[in-house]
Amino acid sequence: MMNFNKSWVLKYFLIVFSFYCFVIVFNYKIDSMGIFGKSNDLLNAAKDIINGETIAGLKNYDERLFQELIIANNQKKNNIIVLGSSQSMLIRKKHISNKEQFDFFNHSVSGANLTDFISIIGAYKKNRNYIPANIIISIDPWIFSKYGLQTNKLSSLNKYYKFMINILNNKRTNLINDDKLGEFRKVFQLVNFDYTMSNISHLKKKINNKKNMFYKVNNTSIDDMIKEEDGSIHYPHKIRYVDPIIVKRKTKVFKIGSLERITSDDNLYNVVLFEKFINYLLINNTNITIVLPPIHPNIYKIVTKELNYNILDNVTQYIYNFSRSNGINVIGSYDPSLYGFKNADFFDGMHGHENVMKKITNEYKNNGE
Amino acid sequence: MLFNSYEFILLFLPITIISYFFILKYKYVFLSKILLISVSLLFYSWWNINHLPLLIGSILMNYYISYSLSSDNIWILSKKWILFSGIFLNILVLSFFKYVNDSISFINVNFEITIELLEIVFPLAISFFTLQQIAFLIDTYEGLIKKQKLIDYFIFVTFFPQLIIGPIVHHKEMMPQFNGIRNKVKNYKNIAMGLFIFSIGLFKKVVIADTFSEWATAGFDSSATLSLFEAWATSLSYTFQIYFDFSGYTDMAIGVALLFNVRLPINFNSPYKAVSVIDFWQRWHITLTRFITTYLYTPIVRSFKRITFEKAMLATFVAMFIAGFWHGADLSFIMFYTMHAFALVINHYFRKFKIKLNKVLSWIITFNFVNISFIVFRAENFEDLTKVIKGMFGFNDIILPLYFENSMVFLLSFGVKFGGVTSNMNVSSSMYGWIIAFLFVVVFFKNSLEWSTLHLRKNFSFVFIGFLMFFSLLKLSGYSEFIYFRF
Repeated sequence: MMNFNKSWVLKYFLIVFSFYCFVIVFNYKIDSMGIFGKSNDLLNAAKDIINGETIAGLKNYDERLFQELIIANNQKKNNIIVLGSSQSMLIRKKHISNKEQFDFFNHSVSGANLTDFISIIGAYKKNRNYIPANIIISIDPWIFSKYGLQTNKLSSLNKYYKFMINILNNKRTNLINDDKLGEFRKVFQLVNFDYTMSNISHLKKKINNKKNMFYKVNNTSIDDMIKEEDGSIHYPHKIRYVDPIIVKRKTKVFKIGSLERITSDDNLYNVVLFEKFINYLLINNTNITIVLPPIHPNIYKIVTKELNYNILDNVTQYIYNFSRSNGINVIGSYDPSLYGFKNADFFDGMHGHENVMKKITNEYKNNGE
Repeated sequence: MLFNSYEFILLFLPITIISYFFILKYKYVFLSKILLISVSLLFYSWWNINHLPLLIGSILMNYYISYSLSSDNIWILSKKWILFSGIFLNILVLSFFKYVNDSISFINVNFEITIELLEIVFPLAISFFTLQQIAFLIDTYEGLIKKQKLIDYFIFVTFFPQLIIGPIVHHKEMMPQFNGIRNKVKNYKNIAMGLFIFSIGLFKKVVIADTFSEWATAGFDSSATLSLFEAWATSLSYTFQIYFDFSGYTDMAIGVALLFNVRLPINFNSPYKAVSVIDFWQRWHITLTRFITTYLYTPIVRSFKRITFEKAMLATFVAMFIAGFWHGADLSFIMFYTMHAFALVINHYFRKFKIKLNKVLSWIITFNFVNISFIVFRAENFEDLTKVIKGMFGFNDIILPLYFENSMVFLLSFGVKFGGVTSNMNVSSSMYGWIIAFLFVVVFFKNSLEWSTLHLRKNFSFVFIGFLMFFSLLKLSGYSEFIYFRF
């Protein structure tokens, strides 16, 4: 007979394995974001956005997959698109122009870096065989840091990155192997805690007869995460109307290391790839505007004065020099004081409220009209 | 490498254990020790390989010093000189990495001048391996240790389960275990016990401590002001966070070591059940208390020609002050240990004059003292400290849930308000329920080591422990560091 302890150890591993199997099957079957093709919620959300609806309630979803769905299913040709991170998610169509007749989409994704920009253009090229005529690129300083090229291994956009890199390097493109790899990487979502929670919440909603992960709204004043038809977002009220005193406190206790990949390293990385990418767009007759999103005054002071990091100045200088020699328009500044932004204009250390992007893109509007 | 990471749990640990016992199966003891040292160094350098030479250099330096100390051909005076040089060198290295930049920052802030900070990164575990080796040198000097082989000394210092944040192990309890023949064979009792304790430790860290951490951060760092209940919730959240974080790490360390048939010393024994501050320090970070008592307090007391109660109290005070300084050149750590030093002295006076309090009252005083002292430990600045303290003592708003507004309207005349009970912290009000629940857990429940002894042999304990492991692994998607990593 097996000794008690040996049997305990075996049963222990068996039970952990069984729980894992259960959660894998659960996540695969529920699949609230349609990652495994078991649910159409994300596709439906993308289609509603394309059809001019405003939707609410879409949280913890694969933002990059969503961009892919938008690009692949949109039959219209976008005149103007935005590439950027969470800092540029509040750029709206109405900020860009007063004209009604132009197609605009904001493709900003959280924590975006150069790979995301390249991938999104790759998705346009691969799925729609065109590149939008006007591109607004919001450049966060970490784009030129060591981390500026980190690829999200799970990202559904990875295949487009590889596709575009081959184009930029004048190589033959082959998507088949990359597609397979992308499919394999999705598997990790099956054991992801956030995805499990999202699926549990999805199941609860289904049980309560709310069949979708999101719902359509006809105004943006409600307290939820809202995505407009132009791809821009509205945050829930606790972020939208956050108390400026809290923001001030949070920025004061910002620590080294939590500065969103802004480091003491003064060197600029990824410059060659960035220039190749921009030159490719310019050769394809795309008008480019670069936005430098302002950061909170306290953080700006910490980075430039207390820590003496040069990265913000170096990136600004580089962008201005490069843009000047390539006829690219630059708007905005990491330095909030240049636009008179104060604590109350931000909802945290790195992100401005809507008025910040509105004020900056006003320059674009004025240039365009 | 962190214990609470996929690479450790799913790759590093299983591969190491399988290889270790595979090698031992063929009786290659020397090779198994080499393996243990190699994986420990890999574990250490996963974080930052640049600090590996420092660890190896420190080990070689201390081994050489201890070798000299245990040599019979040296005069007693020379031995004393060698010991002091050894301790001095250890403290010098520790001080350079630990205090230089902190001191510069302190000077910059307080004297409004700007001295450039040195570009040094604090080497992981330096405080712990330095203490461990100083103790080793002192015991060698005292003649309590025979000459050790270099390979054994390497394992003693680098053994990865205890390398990063302890428990601070003593050579007396470790060295024999590394060479014990019975420890060289796979032992399913130890494996079962190790998995049991590791799973509880991982759950404590990943699920409990990290949840309390969100509430503590919301209160300390993100709120402009705190009402009475919010301030208590903030302080208690941190008190629970630091306990579950640190004891969770220790449980994981004990569990992992058991897989190798090595028993690490107990480091936490239900500290929040303590009924006096003396009792608290006999239950909290026990191996540090042991070190302070043996290598700081006792030598100080022994240095007095005549020992009196007052001198013993002075020694307590000095030892605690040094312990505070060991945590870092930060006023909050020094204040925390000074507060506890005062409390210990008062506690000793109570004992001397045989003043006895009711046990429940003693627990209430002790727990609240510890809770308040942790505010000092956690607060980033004086503003945070006063915000929480003022809130706890009712100097800010007292807000009751809206639900009570109709039934307790008379309280309005006493300045009590009705509204959101977590509106300043912006967190779910379920926080209060969890805090009350865990107050019961830490006071009335047995700790993880008692649990493992009592429940391992019960039917279906594997289901519960297996679930804890599964849930913790699932929750492991983010990165979260242990509080004591910075020491």
